[in-house]
Amino acid sequence: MLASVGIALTEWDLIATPKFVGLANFQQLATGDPAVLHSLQVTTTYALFSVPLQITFGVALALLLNARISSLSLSFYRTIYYLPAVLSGVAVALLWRWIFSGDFGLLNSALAIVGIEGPGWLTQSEWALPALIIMSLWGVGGGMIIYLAGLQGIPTDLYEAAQVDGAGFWPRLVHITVPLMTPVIFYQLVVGIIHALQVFTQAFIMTKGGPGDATLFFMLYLYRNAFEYFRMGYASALAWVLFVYILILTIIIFRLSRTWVYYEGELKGRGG
Amino acid sequence: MRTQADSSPTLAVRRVRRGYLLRTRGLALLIHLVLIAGSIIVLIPLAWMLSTSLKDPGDVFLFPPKWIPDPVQWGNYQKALTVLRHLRVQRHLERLHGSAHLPPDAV
Repeated sequence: MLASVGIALTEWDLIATPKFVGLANFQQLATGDPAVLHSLQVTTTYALFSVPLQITFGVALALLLNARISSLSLSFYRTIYYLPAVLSGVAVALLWRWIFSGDFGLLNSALAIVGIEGPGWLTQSEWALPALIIMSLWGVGGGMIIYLAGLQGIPTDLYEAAQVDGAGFWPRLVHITVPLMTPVIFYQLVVGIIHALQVFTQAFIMTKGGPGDATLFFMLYLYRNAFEYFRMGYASALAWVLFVYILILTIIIFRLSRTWVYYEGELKGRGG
Repeated sequence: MRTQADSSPTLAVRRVRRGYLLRTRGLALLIHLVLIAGSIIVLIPLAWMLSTSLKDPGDVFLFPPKWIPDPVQWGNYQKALTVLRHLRVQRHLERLHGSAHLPPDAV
C-alpha cells in the first residue's frame, strides 16, 4: 500500500525508471480526465441497483427456504440456489455472454417464445448495464446462505408470543423478522457495496467496457491505464481514489446504520 | 386414560382444523411452486453450459438453441483435459530445464 502511494506520485511505464511528478497524476484525474468521473458514475449506478436488488431477492429467498416444508426438499432447493455461487467469475461471465447474445442468445430465444424481440443486451449501450445487473442476481444464493443463518438465529418464542397475541404473517415479518435481521442485512449491504464498486470481471470479459463506455467500470479503467496504456503511476492514483471513495461511502453507511440497525444485546437509553 | 372427547373432536373443531390444514397445505404448495420456478431459472444457464459443452462448434450458433446436442461431442472434454495435461507437462519441463521456451510440437 505504501508502495502504491509512492508509485501514484510518479510517471512509470513498468520499464523505464519511475519519474517523480508530485501530485500531477491526481491533478490530471481530477480535472483533465472525464473518463474518471464517467466510470465512477457507471460503477455507482451498478452498485445502486445491484446491491439493493440482491438484498431483496436474497432475503425473500431465505424466507421461502426457511418455511416449514419438508426438510429434504428444502436442502434440495438450497443446494440448487447456491450452485451459481461456487462457479468461478470468469466462467460465469463467459456463460452469460452467450446467454445475452443478441442473435443466438438463450435469453432472446426465450423472449421470442413469448413474442418479444429481445434487444442486443451487450451491444446496445442502454441495455448493457441492466444486463450485468440482471446477471448479478443469478449469484444471489451466496447471500441467501447468510440470511438463512440470520433467520435461524431468531428465537422462535418471539414468533410464538406474537402468534398468541394474534399477529399474522405481515406483522410478524415487519415487527420481528426484519428488525432482528437488520444486522445481517447491514453486513451484506456494506460488503455488497464494496464488492459492487470493485466490479471488474464481467465488464472485462463480456463487454470490454462497451458499447461506447456504457460499462466502463472504475476497476476496468484502472486496469486499462495500468496494463494497456502502461501508466502505472496514474493507475495507482486511481486506486487511491477508489479506496477513498469506498471508505467515505462505508463511513456514511455506518453512520446511517445507527438509525435502522437493531442489535438485540444493545442497551438503548430509553429506560424501562 | 383416553376419553371419548379426545379421540373424536366435535364437528366445529374438526371444521376449524380442516380449514387450517387446507390453508397451510395451500401455502406449502405455493412456496414449492415459487421455489421450483426459481430453481428452473437458476438451473437453465447451468444446463445450457452442460449442453453446449457437448456440442459441435457449429451447433453452438443455432437459433433457437438446440438443447440436446447432435452429435454428442464427448471429444470436447477430452480436448480440455489434454490441454490441461499439456500445461502440466510444460510446467514440469520448465522446472527441469529452467526454460519456458518449448517447440510447439515438444509435448
